[in-house]
Amino acid sequence: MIKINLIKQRSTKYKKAEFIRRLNLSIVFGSVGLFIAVSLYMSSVFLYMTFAANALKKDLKGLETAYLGRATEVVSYLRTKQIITNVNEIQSKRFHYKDFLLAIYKLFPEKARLASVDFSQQGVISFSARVDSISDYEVVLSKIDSESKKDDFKFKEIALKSLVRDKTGSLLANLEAIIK
Amino acid sequence: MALEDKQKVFGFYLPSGADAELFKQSVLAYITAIFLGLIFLIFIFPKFSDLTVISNEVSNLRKKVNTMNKTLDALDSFKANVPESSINTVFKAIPLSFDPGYILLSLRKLAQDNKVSLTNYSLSGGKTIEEDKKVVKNNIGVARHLIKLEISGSPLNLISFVENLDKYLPVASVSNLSISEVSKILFKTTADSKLSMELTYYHLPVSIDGKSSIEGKYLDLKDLDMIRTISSYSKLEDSFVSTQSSEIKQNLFGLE
Repeated sequence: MIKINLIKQRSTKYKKAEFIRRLNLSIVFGSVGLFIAVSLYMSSVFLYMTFAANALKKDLKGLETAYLGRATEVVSYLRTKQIITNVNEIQSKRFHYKDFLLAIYKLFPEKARLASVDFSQQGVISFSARVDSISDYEVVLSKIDSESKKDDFKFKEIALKSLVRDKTGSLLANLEAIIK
Repeated sequence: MALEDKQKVFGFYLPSGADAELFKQSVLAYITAIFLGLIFLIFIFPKFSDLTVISNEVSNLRKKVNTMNKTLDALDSFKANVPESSINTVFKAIPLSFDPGYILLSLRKLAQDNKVSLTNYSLSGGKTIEEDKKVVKNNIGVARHLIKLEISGSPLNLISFVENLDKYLPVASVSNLSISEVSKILFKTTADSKLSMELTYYHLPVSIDGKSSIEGKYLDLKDLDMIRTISSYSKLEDSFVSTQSSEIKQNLFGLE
């Protein structure tokens, strides 16, 4: 004799039907819920963005009017900026002649006179000292020697190019200084 | 099995034993989902691009408002921190037009202040009144004007002249500087030297539109320092110019 458990079969069928029913409900509520959520989100974002855009446009218009009302200040501002930028550029390219002229002048003792300075060679300054006698010239050399030992000395090397005695009897020492 | 015994849903006969109610429910659920999906795809999904557009627009407007606020703040700060006199002094650093007469008077004044003599100069440029009225609209940057100058005096005074020239308006660049001896004074005092140099003066022939934006051209602390520095530079006093100019005019026409 074969025994069939009909209750179990019915129970399985019932469970399957219940699952499908729940699945259907989930699909319906899920899709409707999702649809409403997305629609609400979109609408609210659109509304917010539209209000924000309108408010910002209004602000911008007010600020632009205020800006245009200050045209004279804008011209002054921009011109000042242009000038400052150019002055900065000009000054950054400036060769500090004064510093080197003073550095050369420091090398001269009382008895020597600065006869010439020439900056035409890049990195080199040619200068000459006029002195009345050899002993004065030696004073110039010792002054150069003492100055060269200082930390703020601006030259790497100073060389004598020539020493010329002219008709008046004074000596002209032509020197070359290489900038550090 | 008779056809009448079978259940009919949406015009279709269901197999025997099928749950018609459940089938109907399932079909309605899927139809609802598909219908809403289609509505989403047809009407809502395309709006996402519009949302991006409006979102970008708001973002751009916010940037513009911020920039405009920053710009107005910069103008307020400029007005508060830079006095009118400093602005006028800065304008003299690189003027709108090249005025050889003004530069010559400046150099003479500087030479006088440093006890040196202007012995030789060559300068060109300047404009007729009609040319000066023409407005240059395009930004062509600074225009340069070369002036060759020779001055004589004691070496220390010449150095002082060069030093003060760096702090004198209009701004000039020195190049090709050389000093040479011109005379020797017999009584072992100082010998006069001659200083030759080339000066480059500048002018900015640019007309600025008041509607131009100052965005990206803000004055920073370094610039404000530079304005203060330039304000401290010496310049030919206006009264001196007017006096000199009127004197020149009178002399030109032989008036007394």
